[in-house]
Amino acid sequence: MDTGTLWEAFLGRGVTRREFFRLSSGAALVLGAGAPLVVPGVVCAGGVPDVAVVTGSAARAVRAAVSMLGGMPSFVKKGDKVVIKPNMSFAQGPASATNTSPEVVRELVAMCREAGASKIRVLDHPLRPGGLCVKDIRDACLVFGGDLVHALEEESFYREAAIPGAKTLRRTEVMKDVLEADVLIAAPVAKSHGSTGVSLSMKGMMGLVYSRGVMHFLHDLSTAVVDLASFLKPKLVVIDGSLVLSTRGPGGPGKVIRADTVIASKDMVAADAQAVSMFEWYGQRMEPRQVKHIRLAHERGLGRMDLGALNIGKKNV
Amino acid sequence: MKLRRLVQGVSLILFLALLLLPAGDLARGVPFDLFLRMDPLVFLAGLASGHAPFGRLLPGLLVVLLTPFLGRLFCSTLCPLGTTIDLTDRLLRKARKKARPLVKGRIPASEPPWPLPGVACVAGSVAAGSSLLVLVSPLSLATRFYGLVLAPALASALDLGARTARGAGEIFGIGALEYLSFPAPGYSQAWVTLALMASVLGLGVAAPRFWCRFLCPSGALLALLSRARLLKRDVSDACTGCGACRKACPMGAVDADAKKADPSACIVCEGCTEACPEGAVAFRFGRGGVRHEENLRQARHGRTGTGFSKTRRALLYAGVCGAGGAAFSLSLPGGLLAGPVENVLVRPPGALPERAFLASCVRCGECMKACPTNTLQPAGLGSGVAGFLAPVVVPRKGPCEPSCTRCGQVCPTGAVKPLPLAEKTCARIGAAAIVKDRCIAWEKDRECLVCDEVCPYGAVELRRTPENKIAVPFVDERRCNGCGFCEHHCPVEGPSAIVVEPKGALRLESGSYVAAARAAGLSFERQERLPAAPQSGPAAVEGGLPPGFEE
Repeated sequence: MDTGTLWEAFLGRGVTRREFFRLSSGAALVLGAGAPLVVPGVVCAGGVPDVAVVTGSAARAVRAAVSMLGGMPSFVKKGDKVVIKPNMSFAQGPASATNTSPEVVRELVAMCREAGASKIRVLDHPLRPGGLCVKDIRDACLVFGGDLVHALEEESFYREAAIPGAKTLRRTEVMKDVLEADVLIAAPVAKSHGSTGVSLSMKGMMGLVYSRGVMHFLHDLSTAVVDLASFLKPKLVVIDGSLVLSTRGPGGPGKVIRADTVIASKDMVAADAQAVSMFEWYGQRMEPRQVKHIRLAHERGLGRMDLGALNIGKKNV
Repeated sequence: MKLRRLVQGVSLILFLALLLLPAGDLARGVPFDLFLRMDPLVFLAGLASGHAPFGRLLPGLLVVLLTPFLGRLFCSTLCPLGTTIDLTDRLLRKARKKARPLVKGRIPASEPPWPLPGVACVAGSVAAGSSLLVLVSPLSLATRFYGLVLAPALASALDLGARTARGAGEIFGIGALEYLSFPAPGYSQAWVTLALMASVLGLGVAAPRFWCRFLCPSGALLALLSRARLLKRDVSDACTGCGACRKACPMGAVDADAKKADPSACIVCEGCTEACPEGAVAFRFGRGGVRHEENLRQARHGRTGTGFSKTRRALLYAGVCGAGGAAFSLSLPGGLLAGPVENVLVRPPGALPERAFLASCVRCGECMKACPTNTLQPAGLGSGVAGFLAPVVVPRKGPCEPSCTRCGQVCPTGAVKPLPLAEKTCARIGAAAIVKDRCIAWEKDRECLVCDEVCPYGAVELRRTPENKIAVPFVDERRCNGCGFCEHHCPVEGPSAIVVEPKGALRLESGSYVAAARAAGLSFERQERLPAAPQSGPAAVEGGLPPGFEE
């Protein structure tokens, strides 16, 4: 069964919910059974890559990239609570590339379902009225039930947490769901950012805390972003590069490049570094070290930005 | 009587439902301010503004037109403040008994005050260009109290409950409860309304319906209209003159001679019909009652033997009050004598030019209640006494939501015009300006671009300058309509480093805001309408590094 086209089949044929669950559990079985067959293939080609870069239509590329890293079951165990953190901070259509594309989020939710997650939440702390920001992604995920996608704007959904080993941001209020989750998946869209160069998986973690203003005001922003990333470490990073906001991010409107690429990694620094180096920013080619928070994270050992020394697996689907 | 109670209860519930429901999505065509518009004073203010559509004036017009026929039925059935007073008067019954010796002799058992002075005072002030005195119109007060004081308190209590429910939801796995919350809005100047309401209700200790009887300006207006009402209080010959009706009347409308009553004081509550042990009192139309309902006015205010005319005195008093009200309004900062009025505060989008705005705003708080982001707040004295409690945009509380047009939709007088979204977007309320010495990018070379990030219109741009090490924000005023997202989200503690100023606000008496904005060279493009083709090279990088990157 071609699990990559599960959605197209689902949407095209208008299957019932029951039928869908049968399909998706079938897909899970195939995937589970198929993993040992698929993974050795990749291993032969140089082991499990540190970073998977897949080009192709968004949903298929997400599935392929995660498969290259060992498949979703290697990240999400049966019964796990999962929080997926996309960008959904702007009330603009997917064409603006300011939010993660709904297909990417939906595919991740589907894969977590297949892996047997007991609870999946797609969360962000948006800048605009929440309902408007999350609309596209919520609509896309409705097939899984109505209680998945939330914009949490009330302070009561957050709990203060200490960040051990922080350089500047020692305490902050983090979404309770995230603190209680077994697995955090970062699913940012690739976009530029006027003050931190780019906004990818590390910068995106700011969407899981309550007081973001203070990170600008009291702290050096890049250092605070690294502090936060040292605490909120996703098990899996999937960067949506189907559309890249190359200029005037994070809010746009800016130059949107169709790259049809998905980058996945267990290492958020490596994933971010890969996105920086492979896309153009303001018409220029940049190096990961030119993004302060990536350089700082690398120096602190949170991950690796030296792409030349990493195993980058590439694929086209 | 029972029917009246039912109507009263249903009216209060309807009033509250209409007031409290707009928190959700605003359904078009629902008259959220229906009760407000029934208030004769609000009706007058709407008439005076000249910007309220006829449909909005209709409820008030109906009340005004029906009162000469039915008397002050509005007061006893529809008025939410009257119903609230009835409820608290019941609670105050014991206190009233205790206070009786103190009050005795000071408040006439019957003989209500001549309503003209109060009406004249308010009418004079409205005519002279300020509706400040409408502050105490019953519906304005009730709307403000329920909407801006009680509702937020209730929401806070509900939110506390919701937190508990969330815990329970987690235990029992009820997904619907997981993110249940009732965010409570907050409003400034709540204490003014609370104090005013407390005094209005507290006066019930002195006498029942004290406010309605002696102070309510709308009631006074209706009293004038019901002097020769057609629905008359008819006392049959079965009357024994026991005085039970006189005791029961909350308005002091019944004379010592129980057959006589003052139609302008009577609110047709039928307390007297219920109290009469003989069943001798009834309200009916037509000739039957005419012989009994004698006009007490003539007896009271007509010439007495001493050559002193109560009527003349009352008219003189009313004249003085009217002139006083007018003089008061004229001398206020918004008044005609004060010269041109400056826009010192940021008003809601579509607000009339400041002078007309202050004259027609009845300070009901309906717009503030309807505002989804809590940005509309009752003003303090920032725009002078004349602007007290009028709505002001406070971006630090919340930004003006680009997709919302509620404030104009619910304004009962047209002080804030009801506008379609395209017009509202162009109804510029001001423009943002950067306070460079507070801005952490300009002043401290700190990476920050929150204002640029949140601007819905792309009016903030980060540019590299020779003086600064990092890209710093600039406002393109031609693209800024003053929504205040930047001021709201600015991370600087205390006052924002980017502030919406009322300068350049489009405040039109009539005509299209879209056309006016175009004529002024303004263009407010939402970012949703993105150019399909990639933009030409951004001005931000001229050979240098992209913003946010290092060497």
